[in-house]
Amino acid sequence: MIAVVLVAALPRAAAADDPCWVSHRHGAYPACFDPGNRLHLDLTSDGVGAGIRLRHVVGADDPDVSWRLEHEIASVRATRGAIRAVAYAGRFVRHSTDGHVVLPFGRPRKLFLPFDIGAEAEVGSLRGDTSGGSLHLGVVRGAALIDLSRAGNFRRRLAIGAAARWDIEVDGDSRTARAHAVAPLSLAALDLRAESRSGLTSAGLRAEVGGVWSTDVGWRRWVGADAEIERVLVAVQDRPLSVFVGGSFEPEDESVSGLVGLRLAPLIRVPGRRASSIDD
Amino acid sequence: MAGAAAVFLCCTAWPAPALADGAAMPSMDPSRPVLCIDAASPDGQRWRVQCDENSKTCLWSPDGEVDRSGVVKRDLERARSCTPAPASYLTERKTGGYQLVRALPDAPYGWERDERGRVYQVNFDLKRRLYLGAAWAPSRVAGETEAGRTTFDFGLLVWEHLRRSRSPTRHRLRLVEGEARLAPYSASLVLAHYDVSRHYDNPLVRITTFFGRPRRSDLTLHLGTWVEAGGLELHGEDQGNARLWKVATGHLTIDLWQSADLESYARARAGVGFEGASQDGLGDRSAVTPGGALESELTLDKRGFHHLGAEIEHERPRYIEGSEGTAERTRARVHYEVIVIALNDQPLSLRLSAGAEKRDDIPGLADRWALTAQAGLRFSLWAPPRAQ
Repeated sequence: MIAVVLVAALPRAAAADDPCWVSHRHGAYPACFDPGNRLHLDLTSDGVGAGIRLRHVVGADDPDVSWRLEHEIASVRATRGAIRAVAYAGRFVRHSTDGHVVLPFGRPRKLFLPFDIGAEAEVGSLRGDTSGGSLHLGVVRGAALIDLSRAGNFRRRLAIGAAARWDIEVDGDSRTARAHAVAPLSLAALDLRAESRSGLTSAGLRAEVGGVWSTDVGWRRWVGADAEIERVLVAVQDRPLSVFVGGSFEPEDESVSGLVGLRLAPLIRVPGRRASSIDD
Repeated sequence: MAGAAAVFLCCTAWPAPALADGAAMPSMDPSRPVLCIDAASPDGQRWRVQCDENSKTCLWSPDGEVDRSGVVKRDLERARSCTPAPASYLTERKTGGYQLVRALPDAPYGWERDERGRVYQVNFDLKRRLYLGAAWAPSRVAGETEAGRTTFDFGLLVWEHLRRSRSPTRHRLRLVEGEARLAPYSASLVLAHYDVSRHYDNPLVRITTFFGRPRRSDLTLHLGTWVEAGGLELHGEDQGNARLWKVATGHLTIDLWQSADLESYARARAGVGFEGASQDGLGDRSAVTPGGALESELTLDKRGFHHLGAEIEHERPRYIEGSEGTAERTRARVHYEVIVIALNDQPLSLRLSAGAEKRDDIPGLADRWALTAQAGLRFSLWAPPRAQ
């Protein structure tokens, strides 16, 4: 069904003066892509990956309010001896041109606030090595966010907030839980993203810093971060091929890792509509 | 020219716009038409006007959000379109003896406006939301008090839908809902929950008695179903970590009392489930678990600010593999949630709960009553106004 949605989002109608479509005597071709609506396959310096991303805007009765919803489904990255996977991750941001807080005491009062409100949810994540070592199973992660960028689109994000998570460290050999870790909104979360108007270039940074309580050592420091820059270089049959550079700071062992890879999006939404070709 | 004269008359005879105290101002009725009059004030402001023939009153407000000095800065949010009217409309009303009263612009159901015309939500449906919360959760077990215990709870999706008909039906869906507690550790999660309540218009059985004058008595049973799948409980014990997988549970429900919209109820439910349990060093076992509960959820006010719930549940796992015999689980809980603030119309609520639990299905857990309490905050996303 997801594939059907993505295929349905591919260009179909004809329209002129669309900067995302370039006319050509053999037919118009796209110059913009939507990196938030795609099925992607990754070939990295030390492994492979894949995932589905969807994002869409849901309107409200008030034209000044909209919901920006982003979903990542079945995201997997396998490297030599290690695997990272997320069953579902979602980000839900309520964008309003008028941020405010309401104090509902007596007659409700309204105070101005300069940010949007949102939340993140992640269910079923897995990090670990496949050679029998430990596996880190993220049962659930949630975060309440404020987005200071207040962008009316998906291209900019400057969000901070408080995150909660529940993780289980599983012994790879015995397949039993070695430790359980809980962060009851005790993590500060940062989420930055920038994306060019054409969608050809994008960059993101996510970080979590704070304390996590675990059954083996009690409270401990938790620092984790992921960053990635991606640039589309070519498109084959209107399917973009991009290069990306990523890095992460693993919270469990506080190690740094990086990778370079190629990303093919066999299914991707193209913004705008196809322009008429010269021959038409 | 005539129009200009009308505007002059209107605006010299009627008060100029100024910021007033919102608490003292009436609000325009959102169910009645609103007129818009261009250049109705001396500074050319466009007004929204709503006149009432019975009270000989015209409510007016600037047709836009104003700053502290009363100058319109932007359009009204969530405002209905208004019907254009000439400036002479107000003059005619003045001649007819109408009183002009500064008012708050009309706002849709579930919303209000302040004196500057800014809109905000004052009615929340906490049965449609995703939430994340944290709480102080002390407990007392076998004479020992764990005063520093904390917890966080979450719900990826809480969604209820009322299908209105002669026999209205309310569907309740909850996905990925649970909580994790620390010091000492335990956690619970339910991947999917669905239950349905129905108010049957036709009685299940009608009994006619023929002692003297024939009389009819109706027996109405509001039956429903309650299903959970993918339940998980984790307990960190001195004897090793214990895991309880509630694969699937199905109950039949009887609503003992229902509110008109079925949002509030008191009901009994009973049924059976299948579960598997394991503990470090003790191996796996599985059980068929009959159980039942008495539970109630009440929404105490029309705006959806106050919610009260109570539950008494008993389960009796009957082991069919890996162990023999039966175990007992009994728990009771009462909880209250109240919205205390809203950030960008997304509610932050205070949640209080108290409960007791007694169980002997997990070796290492004290087979005594464990008393628990919680006091914390929940942040909810979505929570639109409740259905009218």
